[in-house]
Formats: sequence, C-alpha cells, structure tokens
Amino acid sequence: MRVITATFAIAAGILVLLGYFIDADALRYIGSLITDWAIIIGAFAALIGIINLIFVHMEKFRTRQTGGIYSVLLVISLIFTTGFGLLLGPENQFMRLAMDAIIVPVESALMAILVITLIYASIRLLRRRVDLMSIIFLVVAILVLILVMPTPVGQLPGAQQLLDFINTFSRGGARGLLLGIALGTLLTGLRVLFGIDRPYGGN
Amino acid sequence: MAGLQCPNCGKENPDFLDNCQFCQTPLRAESSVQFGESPVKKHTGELEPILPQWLKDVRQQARESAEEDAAEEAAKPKVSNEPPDLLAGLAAQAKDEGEEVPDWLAGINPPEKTSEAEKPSASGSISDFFAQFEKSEPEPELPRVEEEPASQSAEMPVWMSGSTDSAQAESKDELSEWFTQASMEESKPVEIESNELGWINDATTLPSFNQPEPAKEPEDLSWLHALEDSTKKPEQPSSAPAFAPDSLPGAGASMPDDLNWLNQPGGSSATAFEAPVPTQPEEQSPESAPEDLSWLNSLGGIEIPASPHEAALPVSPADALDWLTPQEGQTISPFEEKPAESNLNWLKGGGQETLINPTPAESTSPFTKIPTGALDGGDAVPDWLKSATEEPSMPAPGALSDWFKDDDAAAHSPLQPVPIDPNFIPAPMDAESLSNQDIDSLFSVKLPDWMSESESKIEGDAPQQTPAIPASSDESLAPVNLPSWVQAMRPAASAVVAEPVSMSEEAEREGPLAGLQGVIPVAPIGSSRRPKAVSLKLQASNEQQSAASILETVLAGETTARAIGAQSIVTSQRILRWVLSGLFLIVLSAMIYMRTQNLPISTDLPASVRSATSIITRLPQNSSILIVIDYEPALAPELEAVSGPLLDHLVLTTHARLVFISTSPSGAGLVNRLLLNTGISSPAGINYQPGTNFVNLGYLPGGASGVREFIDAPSIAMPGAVEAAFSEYAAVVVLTDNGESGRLWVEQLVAKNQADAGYFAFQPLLFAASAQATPLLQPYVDSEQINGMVGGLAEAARYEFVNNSRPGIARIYWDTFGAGMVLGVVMMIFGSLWSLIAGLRARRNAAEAG
Repeated sequence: MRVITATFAIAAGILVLLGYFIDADALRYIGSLITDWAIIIGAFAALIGIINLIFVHMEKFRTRQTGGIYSVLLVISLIFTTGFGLLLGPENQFMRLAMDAIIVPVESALMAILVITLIYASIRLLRRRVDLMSIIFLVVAILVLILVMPTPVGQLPGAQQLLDFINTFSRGGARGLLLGIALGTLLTGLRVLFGIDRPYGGN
Repeated sequence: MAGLQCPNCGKENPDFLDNCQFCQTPLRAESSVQFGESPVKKHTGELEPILPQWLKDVRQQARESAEEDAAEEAAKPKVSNEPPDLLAGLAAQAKDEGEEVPDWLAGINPPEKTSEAEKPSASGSISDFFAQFEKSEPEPELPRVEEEPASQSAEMPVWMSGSTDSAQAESKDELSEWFTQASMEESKPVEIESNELGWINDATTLPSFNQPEPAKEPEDLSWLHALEDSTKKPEQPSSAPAFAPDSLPGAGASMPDDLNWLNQPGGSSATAFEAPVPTQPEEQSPESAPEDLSWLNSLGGIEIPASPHEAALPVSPADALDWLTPQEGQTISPFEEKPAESNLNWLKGGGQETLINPTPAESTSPFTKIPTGALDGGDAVPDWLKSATEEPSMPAPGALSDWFKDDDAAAHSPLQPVPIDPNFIPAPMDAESLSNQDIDSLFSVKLPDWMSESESKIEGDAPQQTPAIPASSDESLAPVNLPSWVQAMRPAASAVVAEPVSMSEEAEREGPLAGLQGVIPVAPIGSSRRPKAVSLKLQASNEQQSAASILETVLAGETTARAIGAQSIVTSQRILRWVLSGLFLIVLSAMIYMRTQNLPISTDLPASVRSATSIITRLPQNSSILIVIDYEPALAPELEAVSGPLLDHLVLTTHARLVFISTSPSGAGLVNRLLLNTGISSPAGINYQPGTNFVNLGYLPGGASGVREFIDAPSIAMPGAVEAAFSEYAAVVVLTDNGESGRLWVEQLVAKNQADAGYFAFQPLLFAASAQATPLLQPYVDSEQINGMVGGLAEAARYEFVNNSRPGIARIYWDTFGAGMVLGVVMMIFGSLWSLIAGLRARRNAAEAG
C-alpha cells in the first residue's frame, strides 16, 4: 500500500511539474486534471473539517465538559447558517446580516483586543527583560508608530525619509524570509517527489 | 605418581622406593648390586662442588665419624651375631662394663645400651632392631609406640606424614638392603670412584664395604684412648673435649659456625651424632673445653631426672655454664640419639625422650638411651626404635610432624643461622651412595636455619589463631600436642579439607627434603587461602559524603513546591489591562462619536500608490477586472478602507466589470459588504448591480493548486466564471491581509506570464494590503512583480485624498486612527519607563533581600 500511494504521489507531482517546463497539450491536460482533483479533494477536506468540528463539539456537549453549552450554540449556528446559505444563497439579506452583524464585529473585536494586548506587552517588556534587543525592539516599534501616525501638524519633517530607511531593514528581512520560504518549498517538493517525505501517509 | 609393582609380592609401591615396602624386594634392577654383578661406576663427582656448605660439612663429619667408627671397629673384635654396623660396635662397647668411658660418651650412650649390656636380652633387642628392618609388618607388641604416631599423624598434614613415612620406609629399606648386601658381599668391595664420593672413600672403615683400614686408624685409637684417660679425671667433665669445636677432626674455619647451633638450648637432638665424632683428645684444645662442658652439662643434666646416676656425675661448677639453664626448659639433650635409619622420630625431642646421664657403668656404651616411656614402666624399646618398627606402609600422613616437632622446640631457642650458599643447587639424593651413617649425619649435624626460622615465622604470622605454647618449658608440651605452627595451619587445612591437596610433582631441591617428591603441597599454606573479611560498611570519603549531601539537597528541592507569586502582581496586571482597554474605548469612542476629520492627510503618494493609480488609468474601459478577496472578516474594515479608493478609482475610471473570487472561506460573504461600504453597490454611490456589474464567483479552494487551476482555466476552476481564459481579465486586484496567501497569486501569475509573455505581458497585478502584510509584499513591489500596491490606512488615506476623498472611509478612520495611535504610543512610552523603573527597583529589592 505504501508503494502504491508513493507511486501515485510522485507520478502526480512529476506530471504537474513537467507541465511547467514542457509545452505539451497532454501534459497540460494531465496537469490540469490533477489540479482539479486537488481542488476537489481540498473542498472535501474543508467539508470533512466542518463535519469533524460538529462531532467534536457534540462530543464535548455529550460528555458535559466545561463550555459544552457554547459547543451546542456553535453547532446550531453552523447548521442554521449552512441551511440558510444553501437555501437562500450568499447574496441573501439575511446572510449579509449574519456576516455584517456577527462575523465581522466579532473578529474586529478580537483585533482590538490584540491591540490592547500588544500595547500591554510593550509596556511590560522592560519589566520582564531589560536587554539591548528588547530596547531596540521597543524603540523601533514606537518610532515607526510615531512616523506613520496622523499628527495635527501632518507628517513630521523628515519622517518619510526616516521611514524609508527603516523600511529598508523590513524589506531586507522580508526578502530573506521569502527566499527561505522558496527554498524550503523547493526542497519539500523534491523530497515529496523522491518519496523521502510522505505527507499523504504511509511513512 | 606412578607406582612400581613389586615382582615378589605384587603390591604397588611408590616409584621413589627402591625396595618393596612390604617384602623388601628390590623394585629396580639397578637399585642394588646383585650376586654376580659388578657394581657400576657412577660419576657424580661433578655434583660435589655445588653441594651446599652445610651438606658438605655434614658429609665431612660423616667421613670423620665413619673413620672413627671404623677405627674402633677394627680395634675391637666384632660380634658375630650382630650386623657389622656402627651400632654394633657401640653395642660391643656397651658390653664392656668395666671399661671406663668419658662422661661425654656416657652422656651420649642411651641407657638402653647399658641395660642391654647388663641383660642378655638387651643385646638381643638391638639385633631385633635390625631384624625389624627385615620385617614387613610392624610389631604388634608395641601398642604405645603405634598409638602416639597414629594420633599425631591423624592431626598432621598429609604432606608431612607422607614425607616422614616415606623417609622412614626409605631408610629402612636402605638399611635392610645394605645390611644384607654387606653381609653377603664382604669379599667384593664396591668400587666407587674416588673423586665422586670421596667422603665415602674416606670412610673406608664402614663395615659394609670391608675395606682395609687406612693409616689413620692408630690416630683414631689415640684420641679414643686420650678420651678414656680424660674421663678418668674426676674434675673434668668427660664429654667436654669431645665437643670442643676445635677438637673435631677436620674442623676448619667453618666448624665453629657449623657447631654454633649445638649451643642452642633447643638444639635438635641431631647433635647427638656429633658426640662420637671427636678425633682429637681434649688435651689438644684445652681452652675450649670449659665452654663445651658447660653446655653439655646444661643440656644433658638439667632436666634428666631419670637416671639415678646423674647425681654422681662429676660436674665442675666452673664448667657448668648456667647461662643456658634459664632458657632451657627442654629435655632435649644434645646427645639424643637419632636412629641410624634416619627415622625422624628422634627429632621429636621435647619431653618425650630424655636421656639420662650415664652412670659409670653405662658409660661404656656411649649411645645408650633411656626413653621416658621405659622409665614409666613401658617397654625397653626406645622411641626411635619403636618408630622404626612401625608399619612400613606407604608414607603415612603426619610422619614428618615428629621431625618438625623437635624443630618447634628448637624454634624457641636462639638458633644460630647456618649460612647457606645462595647458589645452592642440591645434588640428587642417591640413597645407594649414602650409608646409613651418612644419612644419620645428614640429619644430625646441621639443620638449615629455615627449619628453625619457619616455625617462628609461622607462629608470628598467626599468633591469634592458636594459643601460644609456653616456650619456657618443653615439659608442658604433651606428647600429643601439636606445635603451634601446625595448629596454626589446621584452620586453613580444615577450610579446604574438601579439596584434594595437590602435591607438587617436582622434587624438592633444598633442605633436608631435597630429592623428595610430593612432600610439600603446591597449595599455599597458612592464611593465604582463607577468605578475606569484607567490610559491609560503605567506605566513603568526606568529599563523597559532601557530594551525596548536596545531591540529597537538590533532590529535596525538586520535590518542594515553589511559593506562588504574590496576588498583587496579578491584580495590578489585570488593572493595567482594564485601564488600557478603558482608555482606548473612551478615546476611540469619543473620536468615532465626534466624527472629527481634523487631522491633516499628506498629499504625497508613495511610489507604489502612484504606480497603481497610473495602471488604473491605463486599463481598458468596460473590461473585466478580477478582484481576489483574500482577507478575514476581522480585517475587513481595514481592507475596505484600504481598497476603497482603489476600487472607487477603478470603477469610476474604467467602469470595469468586477469579478470577485475568494481564496478565504469567509471571503465570499465579504464581497457585498465591501461593495456597500465602498459605495460601489450602494444606490447612493456607483450602484453596481450583482450579476451585471460585478460577479461573486465564491470561494476558490485548493490554495496554490486552486490558483494555478483558476489561472489556467477560470471557467473550469470556478463554473460561475464567464471568462474562458484568464487573459480576459484586464487586471487582477488582490485584497489581502496575509502575505503568504498574497504571495501565491504573485508566484502563479508571474510564472504564467513568463510562460506566455505575449499574452500576459500587459496584465497588471495590483495589491491592496493591510499594514501587517505590506512589508512582506514590498519586495514583490520593488521587483515589479506587483505593479501597484496600496498598503495600510495611511497610504489609503493619501490615495483617497488624491481620489477626491472617495469613498471617504479612510478619512473617517483617520482621526480616530490617529488618536488611537497617539494613545498607544504614549502608553507604550510611559508604560515602558514605568516598567523599567519598577523592574530596576524590584531587582534591587531582590538583591537586597538576597
């Protein structure tokens, strides 16, 4: 069974990869077909995830665990939303209300809490650890906020130049991070193609 | 050990025996000279130089004694019914009662001889003694003699008894053989090479060889007569000149050393054979006479009460050296007689046998000995004779114990060490080449110091194992008592009694046991085989104990619960959070409620924004624009404010058809919100209608694969897409709050453009990103893979300001955004300073508290 799964995985990867380098209709078709299968599998994976979420919370409610009532509310909300979405469609007014009145405010509130938490962490930083990197981190964060924040006098003189200078470091770090991600992705793909890594199971 | 089978009786005999121990039949053809055979010359002279000095001295003395005996034998008529032996001559002298004998000879003479001289049966006892050697079975009428060795042998180590018996049997066989051959071969002298056994040739007076008397005979008679004359003097001890070291014939420089052991109080009775050796009269060495007489008196006369004639002995007070008396509690007399057949029982010494000083009548037989058993009413046979008459069986255990028992007694006396040549290589003991007298002299003249020292060493090594035997008195030693060194060995022997004692197969090369095999066990003797006591107490040093205590402390600290932090800290943290939240709520609510737009907005657009506006203005009219919704509802307000000016500018400029596709599951529900908040779909705004002006394709699953598939075939990936090819989209606008997901679109689109540059060369890719995703996407903007990007609310406010403040979302947020940032920055600054000071104070307090 391991050999079969590995064979399918490696063959699919090689065929899709060849479609990038070889301009052939057959390879393009095969690549497109395999990609469609991947999209379908991904969609079913999301559906399976939703079903698993329902079972987990139902089990939590059945075993009378702490917060079980919230699990019941989640499951009920999920069922009603899914049902209404399938019946009414996403463009329905009720569905818009569910999004605008529930989802967005809740998640936005979480972002507001995040803001409070970050400010609190920055305040407590020097109490927990006083070293050079902590001070630099805190000073740079405060400086960037000062440079980008709206002021009654508009942008501070020399703020844009100083901000571009600081962004140089952020851009350099971002490039390095992206290069690292690209190399990691390449290596992961090769390992999957050579059968070293088997995320599909059988390892 | 391979045995030899007797050709006569067929019994098994040890291979070291020449004659059968049962029937005395020669076991080897070469062991004796048979009738009609001529003796074979044996060249052993080359071994003479390597003999130890003590053995040389012994041999020399044996020659001299043999000469003296031969001289006496020649001077007196032989007794026809006795074997021609040295003892026979002594017996003849014993019969001469009227002849006066010097005191030293009287002291030497066993009382038995005198009794034999008086009684006809006594002389027969001597002949019986020699006749016993012809017997193969021990005399049954000697039970006492048999009991004592038996009891001793039962307690003695095996190796000792074996050696003793073997020596006994060996000597007995030799004597019997020798006697028989000597009596039968009187006319056939044995030819012995002069250079080999010169001392034997010198001792031509041995009756066994019947060699003509040498010229020394008159000289020997002269010293004997001189001795007789000296004994007639009442003031002078009779034996004094005989034991003067200087008076001994042939006594060179080594003689004084050799005879030093004679002065020892516990000296073994082997010195008894020194007595008949003198060859010079006492007049020749008058200066040494007093000393010799004194020790002889001390040794011989102190503890011998058996003889009633002892009191009559003329002992000179000046010559009776009393310095030896306190040390000598022993009954051993230096004149204690050793049997001629080298029976080692004569070495028993101690109190078992005591010699009485001969009476004047007894002095005619110098070798007369009276055992204590005889005095107690026992039979008249001396111990050494009784020992000789024991069963001639295989070497019995414990036979040598008698030998060492005397040595035990001797160990209590200050023995003089006998020098032994370190290069000593003993010559093999040839029983045939030695006469019985030689053997006697061998064991009588000198004892190596190791015999005397070994006992003292053993006693010193194991003093706690056996009670110390009082050395002051030999009489305290019962006949059955074992010497201390033997008792010290018994626990070790009993500990390994189950093990068969392995006997050394090699012949002994040193000492009196030279030439004997299997006498000394290979296994170590003494405490070396005892199991060592192992202490059960842990031997730990101070460092180890301190380390153990530290480890114990550490382990105890691991199991001790730590004190929970103070509650006040938690309370202060919670209060701080509530304070922060309250401040932000109050300030931001006030700013939102006031809807102030007082804070100025810069009109200087960033380059990426300028590029985006430039691209939008160049897009074709009424084209399809792909709008990718790739953000979560939490960041929807930010993205709506950021993308509002871009979308408003796009719609107003190109009147494009908007095709929405979402790579986030909740993105599909955010499309209408976006269009409403940006005013695109609102009736008061642009009033875009769904299906006509914009299309929501929904969620695109599959991540990168889905993007790849949608780029390849939009209608296949998303059935609601009306565009058959991705190239039908005039531009792609990605609204993202995540750099990773936005990166997927960049990578897939660029790869498609490189593959088909002609088709996708002018398809712009614009990004509207949140402030947190902008730094990660900025490299793609710098590399122009992203043609234009609006990042964050600050750029959006500028873009909106340039876009005639449309849709105005950014501007509404701008004052509140500014107030919140200022509040945040201020709180961070002052909070950090307060935390820094508080932290330093807490650390200082902690340092002070230790």
